[in-house]
Formats: sequence, structure tokens, C-alpha cells
Amino acid sequence: MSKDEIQELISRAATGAATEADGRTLLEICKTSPEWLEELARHVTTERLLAMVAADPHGHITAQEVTLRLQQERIAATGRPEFVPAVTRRIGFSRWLRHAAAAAAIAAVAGFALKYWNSAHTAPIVQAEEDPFSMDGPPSEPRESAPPVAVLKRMVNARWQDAANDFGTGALLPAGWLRLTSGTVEVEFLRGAQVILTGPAELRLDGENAAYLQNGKASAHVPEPAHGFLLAAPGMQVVDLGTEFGLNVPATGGPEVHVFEGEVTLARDGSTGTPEKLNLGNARRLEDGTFRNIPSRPADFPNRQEVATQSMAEGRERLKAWQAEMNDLARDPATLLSYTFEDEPQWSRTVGNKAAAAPADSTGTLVGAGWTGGRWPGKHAVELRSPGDRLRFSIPGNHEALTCMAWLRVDSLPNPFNALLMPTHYQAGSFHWTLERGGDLRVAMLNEAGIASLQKNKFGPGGWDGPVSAPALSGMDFGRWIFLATTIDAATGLCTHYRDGEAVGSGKLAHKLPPHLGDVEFGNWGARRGNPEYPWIEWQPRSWDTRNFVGRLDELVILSRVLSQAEISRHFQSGMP
Amino acid sequence: MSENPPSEETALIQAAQRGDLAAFSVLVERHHGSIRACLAVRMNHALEAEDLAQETLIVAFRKLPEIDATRPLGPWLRGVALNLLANYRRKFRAIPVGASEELQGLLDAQMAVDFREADESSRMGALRDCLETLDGAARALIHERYTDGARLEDMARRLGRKTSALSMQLHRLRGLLAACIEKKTASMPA
Repeated sequence: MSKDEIQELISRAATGAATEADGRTLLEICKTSPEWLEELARHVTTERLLAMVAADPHGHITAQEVTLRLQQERIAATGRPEFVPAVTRRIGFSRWLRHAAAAAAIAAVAGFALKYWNSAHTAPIVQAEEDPFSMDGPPSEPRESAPPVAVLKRMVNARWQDAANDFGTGALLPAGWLRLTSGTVEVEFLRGAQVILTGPAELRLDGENAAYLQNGKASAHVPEPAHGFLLAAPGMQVVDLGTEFGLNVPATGGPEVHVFEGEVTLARDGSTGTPEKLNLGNARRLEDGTFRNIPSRPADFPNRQEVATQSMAEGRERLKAWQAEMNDLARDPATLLSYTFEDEPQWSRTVGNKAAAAPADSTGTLVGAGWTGGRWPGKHAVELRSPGDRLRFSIPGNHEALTCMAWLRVDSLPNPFNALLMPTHYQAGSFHWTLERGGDLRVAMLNEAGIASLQKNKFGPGGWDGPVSAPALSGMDFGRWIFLATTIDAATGLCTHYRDGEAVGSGKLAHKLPPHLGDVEFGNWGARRGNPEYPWIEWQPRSWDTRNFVGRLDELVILSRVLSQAEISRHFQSGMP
Repeated sequence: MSENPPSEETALIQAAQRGDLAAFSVLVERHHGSIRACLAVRMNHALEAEDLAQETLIVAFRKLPEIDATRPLGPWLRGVALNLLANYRRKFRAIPVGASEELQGLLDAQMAVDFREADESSRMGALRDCLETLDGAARALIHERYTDGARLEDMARRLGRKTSALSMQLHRLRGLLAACIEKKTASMPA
């Protein structure tokens, strides 16, 4: 056999195209020639590395998903997202000192609160007390939400029947119905079973390892920890015994089960006999209360590889559409800042401002924060995790109006206030843009009275306008990409908060001050005790000092005008992952 | 007699053993690249390797309390990954290279020799650099085949070429990339 012919054999073996005869020939060659075995290993390795690099060019998929899955398991185990439960409400520093001796008791109360998190206990644990010296009002408390049973892992052209199902990729799913009009979604149950649903279909999530298919097609891949996964259909139940199988509930005719790997047991509803076993390569249909053999048709069901490939292709299309929208936005004369996190190399510690009218010195500087994967394959984002991580930049001047927009992945809300934008120097019009512990989006703006108090080093009530807060997210949103926006209009004093393109609340800032950014930080707060620049920090509870944001930032845009609801909604639509 | 302070990794492992997810996520960031590369070169599908790498780290988190925090984590994680891979191949009857179990056995033995500990990861990094050195046409070909997932037959039709000729061109490109990877990894500091 010539060298070229052996190379062809190796090529087929490396790409999975070899026949059994090829394999036998190659085996004989490799047994007698270590050089050809090395050549085969070289090509197999390179082929697979190429596939892996193409699947995840920046190598972040696994790391993201592992942390998310462990977080989900913890939520499932404790019924509690990683919130720090509130133990104080509106206790000012003067009283705080007197209450210091009670700290140990408060810690014990915190343990109590954790234990009873799932109960209907919603009253503040330490009684609320009014305090005129608290800085800008207390944060919201975590709201209760239904415990998740699964995660929406991938979507391809998915259209939902109910607005209530309008979940994004990465969303934690509670028990209940998923009604898919068209497209394909991959649902990963918390115990590990993966189900691909092709629309039109109706699937009811019954628990961490159980579901009911009312109609449509689903295929299930069940790894070892999820053995015993139960997928029911009208009149029957399929229990996995370590397998991959498809279930089809057509509009007319009985439900069909097709086993692609391993085996399952089948049982009719109400049957008391021993469930039937069905093995690899077999299929059955339930007709008139009896299971009948039918030809197996695995090709009728979507497989994970295809869904993942299609999902990545759709992601690339969405990335292109978003880039076009960002190019338009960069040319808007009102755009002060547009951080897209696209072009920076992984070693870069600066972030370029893409706005055509970018102010001088508006390049961002990363402190502590690192690069990670963003909304789409190949798109970067900034990861903020440690208490010191931040993105610093400067936007000079006062503005008649501002719109601040960010695509974020919130991984937890560990602090009473979790910084989005925070000033490093204060003047009238400086504002805090934060996420509260309970998931409320919030703006509080320093006014002239506040500045006067600072100058007298005696901070009194009424130094802050607002806060204007609105519920924006819950623990169910942790780990998924969300879009937050806030507009501030000095002419009317109106401040409006948006989540995923929809207004979630608004309120008035009393003094109608022009909002001021200046030197700001995304994701952290530079205030430190003992620094005369921040005297009021001495009067607030110490638990409010740390305000670092924990999660990812994939886009940050600031405009010097109020965007309309329609514009914000359009921007959200163009950036949906 | 005072003990030496624990290394940063030991401190992270100890924190993760106590259930600290933030500490474990730092370890995940640090080691997942090696694990996924280790599995990727031994499995037929990249996404299956992704899934198993994820499973490795989940299993590792659960087993973490059983290990000695002062010992290096990388080799232990690699052991967990290779055990899971063996189970996976057994359970899902993964198709061996060349559809031959015996050839797969030879290949596994060769890979064990080829790869020093966690060396697969440095090869993946080198591959990213090597791809940058390809000329535009070759890079476009690789992109279409691997990133876009195009079928060889469709590519050949579009280019007006024979499938076999295109297949061999890709084979030669793989050879060039393999040589580039070996050169780069050989010159890396130990």
C-alpha cells in the first residue's frame, strides 16, 4: 500500500468516515509501524482539537455551565438562591453602634431565616426603625419565587404559545407548562436529564426528574445521575433505565416510544402488571390500551448535536444583527459611551468606547475584572467576581437627560446594594445606579442639600432624591443574560427603569437635577471609611460598604437623551442572545 | 513548630470542600481548559466532550471533601475525567476510531505517551495561534468545515472540486497544523 493510500485511510479514520475494512487495514499497519500509529494519533488529535476550538473559540462554555449547574443544585437542595438574607432594615449608624452587641444574635437570626426561607415568613427579622441619617434608603428584600426544576439550555427559532413562557436561554424553569408553537428547545432538568422538544409541542415539567408530554415530539438523553427519569404521555409512562429515547404524541393516533440507546420501561396508566422493557433499536405505539411494535425511526427526532450546531449558527446570525444595531447606535450624536467588548484581546486591560462622539478619556480601565464568554459564541464579556473587580471610566459634564443600558448576567446579589454605576467623586446630580439585594433596580441622586451636608460634615435627611426603585429580577434570573435600562430626564425629574425592553417602574427625582457621571465605576464603589471624600459612609451600616457586582457585563451604553420605550425595546430585541 | 501557610490553590480547595461555590468556580476557571482538552482529543464529538468535562467538574465538586487539599488538583481531576470517559465509552458504546476496538486501544496507548500531564490544553492554545498563521483561503476552508459545520460534499460542490481531493487538502492542512502545534508546544517553557 502506498503512502498516499495510507494517508487517505488515516484521513478517513480521523474524520470518522472509515469503514470496518479501513479499520482492519489500519490496525495491521499501526501494529507493525509505530510511525504510522503516531501519524494517526497526530491527525485524530488535530481533528478533534479543531472541532473543539470551533465549538467554543474562547473556551468558556464549560466553566459557565458548571458554576451555573452547581448553583442550580444548591437552589434545588436548599430552595434558596444565593441571596444574603436581610437581617436589618433601616437601622442607622448611631443606632447601629448601640446595636453592635446584638450582632451575634443577628447572626443567629440569619441562620433561622435561612432555615425557614421557604415558609411564608416575610416580616422583617429585625424590626424596622426610621433613621434620618441612613444614606439613601434601605434595599429591597429578596422576593419568593417558585423553585426551579430545570434550565432552558438552548433554543433554535423557538416561538412560545404563552407570553408566560417567554424564557431566554439560561432561564431557570419552574414546574409547569412549556407550550412551544414552533422551533426547538433543549431543557436540562436539575437531576441531569436533557430533553429536546420540537414545536408544536406541550410539555409539563413535573419535577427535577419528571415531565409529561401532552403532544408533540421530545427526545431525552439521560446521564447516569438522572436514571429513573420519568416522561409520561397520555395513557402511558416511560421510565429511563440509562438511555436515549424519543417520545412522539401525534395529534391523531397513540403515543410512540423509540429507543435509540440503552433501554426503558413502558407502563400503561392504571396498569398493575410488570412494566414492559423496550431495548435499543425498538419502538412501540400505544393503541387501544396495548403496546404494538412499530418500525424504529430515530431520524424523526432531533438530536443534541444538530440542535447545538443550529443554536450556534443562530447565535452567529444574532451576533451580526446586534453588530449592525450597535453600529447605528454608535453614530447617534447622543451616544456618550458604547462598550461592546468585541475587539479587545484577552490580555487587554482597557475597553474602547465605540461611540462616534466619544468624549476624550472615555476608554475604560479594567481593575481586577477579567475577560470571559459573552452572549454568543465568540463574543467577549467582562467578568466581575471578586470584591475588588471594577470597570472605571470617565464621562464629563452634566446632561439634560441620560439613558443607561447594560446587558448583564447576574450570578448572585450578595450585597444589600450591588453596584452598576457608582461615582468616585460627588456633586449635585451624581447618582447611584444599583441592583438591590431583593432584585430591585434603583437610582438615588445626590442633591444640593446633600452636598451642603457633606461640606458641613453633618449629613442630614433629604440629601438624596429618590430612591426610585422597581422590581427587575429574582433569583430565577441568576445565570442568564438580562437587559437593564434606566432613563433620567432632568426636565421632568422622571426616572424610568426597564427590564428586557419593558418598563418595570418609574418615579420622580424631586429636584430635577441634570444627572452627572464624571469619574465612575461599573460594578463597584470606591468609597472607603476614613476617606473625607465619603464622610457619610461613616453613618451607614457596615454591611452596606461592600457593593461589588457579581456577574458578567456584555454591553454598556450611555446616551445623553431619554430613549423611548420603543427604542429601548428595539435595542433589547436586537441584542437577545 | 509552625506550619507553612497553605498555597493559594490549597486554600481554594479547602474553601470549596466547605461548600464555597465561589472558591470552586475559581478552580473551575483554572482547570476546565485542561479537562475539556484532555477529553476532546479522546472523544468523537466536541459537544459530548464539553458535556463530559462539565460532568467531571460536577462530580469533582461532590467528591472534593474526600481528597487531600495539599496535593495538586490537576492530576486528580484528570483521573476523574478519564474514569468518566471509560464509563461513557462502555455505556454508550462509543464508536472506536476506524470502528476497531483494537485500533482504539493502540491509539489510547499512543496518546498516553504523546500527552504529558495536561498537555492537551497547551496544544489547544497552540492550535488557536497556528490557525492565525494559515493563509486566507486555507483559513476560510477550515472555518467553513469546522465552525460552520459544512459537509465535505457541499463544500466540494460549491468549489467545483472532487470530494476526495478536498478531503485530502483538509488532511494536509491538519498535518500542517499538527506540525505547527508540535513546534509551538516544544518551545514552551516547562
